Amino acid sequence: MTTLTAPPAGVPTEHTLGRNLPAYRQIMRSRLKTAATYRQNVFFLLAIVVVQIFILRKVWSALYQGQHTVDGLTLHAMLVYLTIANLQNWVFQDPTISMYMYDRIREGQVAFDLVRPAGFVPQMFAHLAGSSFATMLFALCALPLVALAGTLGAPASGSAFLLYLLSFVGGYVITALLTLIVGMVAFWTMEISGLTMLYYLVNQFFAGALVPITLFPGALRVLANLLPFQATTYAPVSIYVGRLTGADAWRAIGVQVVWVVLLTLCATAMWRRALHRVVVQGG
Amino acid sequence: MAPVIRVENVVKEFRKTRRQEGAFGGVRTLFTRQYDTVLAVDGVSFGIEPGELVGYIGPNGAGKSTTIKMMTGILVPTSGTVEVAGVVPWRDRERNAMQIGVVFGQRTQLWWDLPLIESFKLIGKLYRVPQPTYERNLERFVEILDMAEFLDRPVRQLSLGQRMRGDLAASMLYEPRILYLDEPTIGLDVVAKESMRTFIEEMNRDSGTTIVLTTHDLADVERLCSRIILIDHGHVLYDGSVEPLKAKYAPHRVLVVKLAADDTGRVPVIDPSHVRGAEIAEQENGVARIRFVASETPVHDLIAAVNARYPVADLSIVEPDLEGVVRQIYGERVPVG
Amino acid sequence: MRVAWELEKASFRGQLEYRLNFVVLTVMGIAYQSSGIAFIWVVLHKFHSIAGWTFPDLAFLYALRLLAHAAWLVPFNQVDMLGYTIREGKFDRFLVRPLNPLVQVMTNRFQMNVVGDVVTAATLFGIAASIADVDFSPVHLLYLVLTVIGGGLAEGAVILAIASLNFRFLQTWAAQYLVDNIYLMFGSYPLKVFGATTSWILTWVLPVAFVAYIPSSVLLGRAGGLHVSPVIAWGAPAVGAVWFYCAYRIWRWQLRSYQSSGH
Repeated sequence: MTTLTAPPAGVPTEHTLGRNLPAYRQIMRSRLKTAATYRQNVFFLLAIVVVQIFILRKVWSALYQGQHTVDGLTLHAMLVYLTIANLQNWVFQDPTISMYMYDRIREGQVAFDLVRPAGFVPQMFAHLAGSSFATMLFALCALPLVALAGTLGAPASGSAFLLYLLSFVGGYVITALLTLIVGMVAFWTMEISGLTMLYYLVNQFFAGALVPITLFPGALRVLANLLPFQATTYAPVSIYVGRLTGADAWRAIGVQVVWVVLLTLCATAMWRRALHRVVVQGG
Repeated sequence: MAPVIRVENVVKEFRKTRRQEGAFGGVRTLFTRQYDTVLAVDGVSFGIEPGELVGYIGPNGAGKSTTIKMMTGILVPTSGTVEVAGVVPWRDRERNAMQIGVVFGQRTQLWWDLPLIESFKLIGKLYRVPQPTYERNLERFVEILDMAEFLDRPVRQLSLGQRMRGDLAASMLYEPRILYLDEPTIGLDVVAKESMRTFIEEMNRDSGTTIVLTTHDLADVERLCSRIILIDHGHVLYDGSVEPLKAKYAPHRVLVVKLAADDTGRVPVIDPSHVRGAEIAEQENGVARIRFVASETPVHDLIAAVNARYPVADLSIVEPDLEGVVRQIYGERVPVG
Repeated sequence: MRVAWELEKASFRGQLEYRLNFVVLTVMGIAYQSSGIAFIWVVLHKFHSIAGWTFPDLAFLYALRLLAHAAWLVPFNQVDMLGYTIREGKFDRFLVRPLNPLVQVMTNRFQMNVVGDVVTAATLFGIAASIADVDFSPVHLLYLVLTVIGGGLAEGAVILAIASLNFRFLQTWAAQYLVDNIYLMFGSYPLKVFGATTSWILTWVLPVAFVAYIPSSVLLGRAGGLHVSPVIAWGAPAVGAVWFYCAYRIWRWQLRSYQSSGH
């Protein structure tokens, strides 16, 4: 394989971004199209989330039997938390992107992606954005069903909602970075399909989609707070239902920012090493 | 004699779901799927006698594979009858399976990760072949197909030619009455093709196996088949021997004459009036291609006429090939009378 | 039958080649199987019981479900992969061999990580059985064995029926995945948590209840609180068998619509 002169890894300059915008738009459009074509599958996966929301509602209602408030959350607030957390988590977790990365790396086509002017990493982000947008549309469509299976409710207050939106963006960026990192593992090993499933499970659990982090028993709670997953779902949705307010809310957002920085550094480092590996070893 | 394979008015329709276009088709399309009906086979009938070696040919999408799949019991006909050695294939799959061998050129029946010999053993057990018969056939095939050197190698490590030979042997191990060969020589080099053809010929001649051969390589057909069935667009266009087909569609032969140069190095040019009953298709640098209709103009007359007037250095006769004939028929797309 | 065993052995020998894959998938399988009980454990740390079922009860229910799932998985795991086998072009070959195509599908590939699932199920069950309040009398033991088989059939029947849609449609993996998840998620809880309507649906429309909830209720001495009569509760294995028989008929019927892959 001929040596490639790789573009500076990670951050494209403003100049290149502008020039490649049409390419990214095209990628996003094609993602939407794919999603529409495979909407059957998307609906089935959505059905699984709806079922999970339903089960969580029933189980938690049974758990609350008689008690009004647990750990600062009324049953209603808890159910709203779970419903939105699961829905949000589903929108964030897109297995298709990791699989796509895996396929392209495995098939060797990543070599083309690397030399394309649009750059590999921005391309992957474009894919993710397109896919997420499509997923969000589906989620909106399914809202009535979700309302039936779970409990939808208004945010705790106007300011809670605004903070939620902020935190939502933070959570999304963190998820995107994590997806990218997990996808890049494919540069080193071929056995990624098992890994993505594992990642999905671990993420779901530690993101607090099944149980709010605050209810984790001792050691587990400490662990959960140290991991980035809680920053994707637990933080924003807790703000939404009013579990985290004022200073606590801002602290959570701050933690999100820290994670964004950390993960960006990690991803950049991985990217450099992956590039080195591809160029030197021929992929 | 009653035909061993009987196909009567067989029709096969496929329903393919039509993909809905549009950015966001919505839930509606989940419930109202639209179907396109594809008529792959439209009233095909033929009978094959025991011991025949029939070529079943047609362009891609003609309905060849579909017919074969109905004859082997993989697909159920939409209407019509298929009967193979008294068995309706799709209804009595296991009974039908015992009397047929099938070789798919593109997919192997051998076990990918196991040594070739293990596949043979499994086939022997699967088809309940008595041990002495199994050993006798194995020895025979290993010799004819020259497989001794790679018998112990896993199938995934074999070359295409080796794998095809293995597939062919596997299909005959249990001595089926009928053998279906679907593109058996595809992708093979010249030598491999020849040994496959020899094997097929021998199986037909010595064991009396009825063979249905589907192929795009018309050289296979010319070499092996006395009868061909030509199918296109789900209809049988021709069913009969090869010779009448050629005579009807390609009655012309070409006599290629190479003339010797005289002392000055000049080469004579044949005058058309000297070759009556024939047409000079082209003439260049002393090589003349003379077209004639074999049934109308006896070739020896033609040769004598040329020889009498010109210094002939060399001559040869070019026969029409099946490929040209078939191409012409595909082009016309009309049943051949 | 002997031939089927030969085919199975052949598949096993074939798979010994792919060892790393085995390890990864096994670990993943263990994680997947244990995720449900992890949730229950965390939650019951705080709450002590769900609808009157304590953690040992729930652990037993969960483990019994895993056991029944393994009982299905070991012989029939390839049925889930039917779509892939058809797209590979391998299934055509099964139809021209003198052996039941379903048996051929079952023995097509030996999935090594199934071993991992069985070990996980057995281990979790061992633990759960020791902490749960179960009377292991001979009658109960016999019932346990039968019900594990019957439960496997109850779950497998639906998977088989849906898998047979692969003969007609190309992309059914999502539907299979959904059913798999329904059994996994709903099947691990005492059904009364979900209310009368859902319980009924999960008993008579989809036999989820017969996989683990009803059998574990009987074994835990909670048969009285069931929404079905004791006769049916004790006859749970039979219900599974009936479901499987029907699913097999559907499979045979769908086979007639088999469209085969392109080439």
